[in-house]
Amino acid sequence: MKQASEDNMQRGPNLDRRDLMKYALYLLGSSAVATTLASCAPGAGAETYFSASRRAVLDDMADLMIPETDTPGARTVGVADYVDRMVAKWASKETRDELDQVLDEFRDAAREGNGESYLELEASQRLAHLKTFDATRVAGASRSLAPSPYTTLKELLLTAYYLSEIGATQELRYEAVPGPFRGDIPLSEVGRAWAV
Amino acid sequence: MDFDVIVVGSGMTGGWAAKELTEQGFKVLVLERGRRLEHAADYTDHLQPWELENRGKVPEDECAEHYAVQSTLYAFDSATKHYWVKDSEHPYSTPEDRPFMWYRGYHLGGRSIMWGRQSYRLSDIDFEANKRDGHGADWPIRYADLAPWYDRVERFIGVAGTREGMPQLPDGQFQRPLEVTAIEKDFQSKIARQFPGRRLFPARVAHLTEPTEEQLELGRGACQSRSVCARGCSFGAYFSSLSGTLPAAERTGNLTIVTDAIVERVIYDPTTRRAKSVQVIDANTKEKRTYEARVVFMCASAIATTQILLNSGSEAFPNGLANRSDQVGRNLMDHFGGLYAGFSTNHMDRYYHGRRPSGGYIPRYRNVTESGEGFVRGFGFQTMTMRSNWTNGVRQPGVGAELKEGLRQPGPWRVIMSGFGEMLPYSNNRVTLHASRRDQWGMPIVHIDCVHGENERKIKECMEKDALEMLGAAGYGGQTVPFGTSAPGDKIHEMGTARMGREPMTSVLNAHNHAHDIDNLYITDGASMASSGCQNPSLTYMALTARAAHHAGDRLRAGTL
Repeated sequence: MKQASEDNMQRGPNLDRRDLMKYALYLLGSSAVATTLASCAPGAGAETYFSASRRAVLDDMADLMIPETDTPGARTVGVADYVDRMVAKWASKETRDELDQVLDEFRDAAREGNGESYLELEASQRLAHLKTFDATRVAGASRSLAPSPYTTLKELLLTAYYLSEIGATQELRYEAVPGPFRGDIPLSEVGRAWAV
Repeated sequence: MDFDVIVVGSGMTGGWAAKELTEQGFKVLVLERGRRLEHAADYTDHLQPWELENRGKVPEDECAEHYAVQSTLYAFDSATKHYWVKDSEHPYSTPEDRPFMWYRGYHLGGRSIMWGRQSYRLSDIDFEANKRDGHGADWPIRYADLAPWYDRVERFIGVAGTREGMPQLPDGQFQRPLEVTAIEKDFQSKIARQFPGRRLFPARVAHLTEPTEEQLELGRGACQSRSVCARGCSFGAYFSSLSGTLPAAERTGNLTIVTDAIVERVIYDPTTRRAKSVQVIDANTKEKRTYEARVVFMCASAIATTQILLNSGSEAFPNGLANRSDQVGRNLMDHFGGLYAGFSTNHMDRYYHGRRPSGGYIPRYRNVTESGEGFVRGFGFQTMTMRSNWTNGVRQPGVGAELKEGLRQPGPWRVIMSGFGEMLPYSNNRVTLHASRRDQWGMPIVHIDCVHGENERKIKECMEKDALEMLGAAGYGGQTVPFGTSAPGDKIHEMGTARMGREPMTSVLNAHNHAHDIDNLYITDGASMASSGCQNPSLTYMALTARAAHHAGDRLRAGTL
């Protein structure tokens, strides 16, 4: 039984590898799949961290950073919500304070530049503001390899998007069980970057 | 007596001792201090990136409170943390200004679940090194003694690799190598052209590419290029105790495994002058009990084996069991080295399919084909190549549709070199028992005092110079990347604290990993190493174990044990 399944794994490139994987796990006697999946959602029922006003800024920033194009953007994926819940579960007080501060600085810098509160600006003004803020902060961080509060925030946003199912499989490319490694193929065969 | 042999530990070497001894018909008891871990069922390799808790990040407060050492490791994340000990529950001490990183996991299979899978033979350049330059004690064996056992181990575990015919890195029994990338071919040819004597070829890794009948029978299958190895592999595509040796031992009907059994001491009988029994503490109830057998194999890993020996002192052995030489605990070694990275925009129309769980290898050339520049021994490099992806967006300016569009395509090739230097055996690099601190089971904790010396400093300097020179000559730029802690222990290759040697007064074990002082005690884990080489050591530990298990088997059958 086991041996037959191993043979399939090697000789069945036409099968959907993810289904094959679940089948293999079933054959190997794993009942852990369903329970682990349920417990691993970062989300359902989990707490959020940011205050309502900062969350509003984060929502907007996420969608400006990764907008909907011919694939879904941050809003559809729920990036800001994911980051908010992740900060509640993962971040230390020090990291939370830094993230609060960088969101406040982002909001306040908009007022200084435009005289209006951030969320009252036009979408194009908000995007221009993010572009300037990002360029300044990334340049400031590039001298050191250590993360800065802004690069931590940007990393959280990009990670939440590109490692989501939509980000990994629609925007980029991902295969759960690629099969034997092929080391040197034309990029055109894949077309886009692998998410991992 | 219920058992012929007690094997202490179920990891890389414990699994091999169990397999080789049960297959010879002996009744074997494996004692594992950690919990039972079920192959596949307890792994997390089925989780997709979006299913990982916190996208893989372990909460920062939890890292600080419970995983101060373990969380500094590359393989530590929310899907693997259950394989690593809580430092808060398993303390050890070091001098304040001399950190030592001790990475470990307490569960059935030990670190064979989380190992890097790189599998290289030592050569006579390594076995003769101590004798040649006078550091440490001469190995009591040479390559020819171990070669058939390397063959045996490689055939069973399955190693993907290429035959290269290099004297410093003997070829073995290989399955088809994993394919190389476009930039790796580029780097290979540039190194061959510009640095005669240096060579880059596919890493030799314990991943199945052409599973044998024996491997298929054990339920193992070919590598699927998922590269989630650190979470365990439900395909059994890389070798571990749980995918290979323990199932092989189990099917003989001669194996008993007891988990949650912390070995406190090996009890010596002064009348018979033999190890009489093994005393364990139940990890959960803290009750003590003993097991008896004709032979004891210590396979608990270098530092843990040392802790047990030192804690097994008696009137006959006031300094610890099998320690008349005073070498138990001394000569602690690890590997060391930096990380060096370059990038290239050549071959931007080439890519790969799958996530290769390995890379390339450049074996030692210093003090082989090129001089040592003021140091003895040498170093090798593991290399990794990949094209950068969306993670590049974090530190590059850019937002919005433009950012998204830019990150859709893979970025430049990255070429990463990771150095592995040989560390000399120094008698003052030492594991001892702490004078007063005990763990929650009442065991004295270990105190580890280990520093790199002048030879290591010179090797590291040369390693960096050479890496940057090779990356530069290939046109990849090249810089040193701060990575890891660079403290001893960092490479997780700790070894040497019960060394093999020719003289009972200067070594703990003879040529068969058999204690000079005690007739029925074998030590076959990393503690037995007389020198470290610069190759990843697990393959050698396994070969030494298999060889010792047959030595013990012969003596058991002859009635001399």
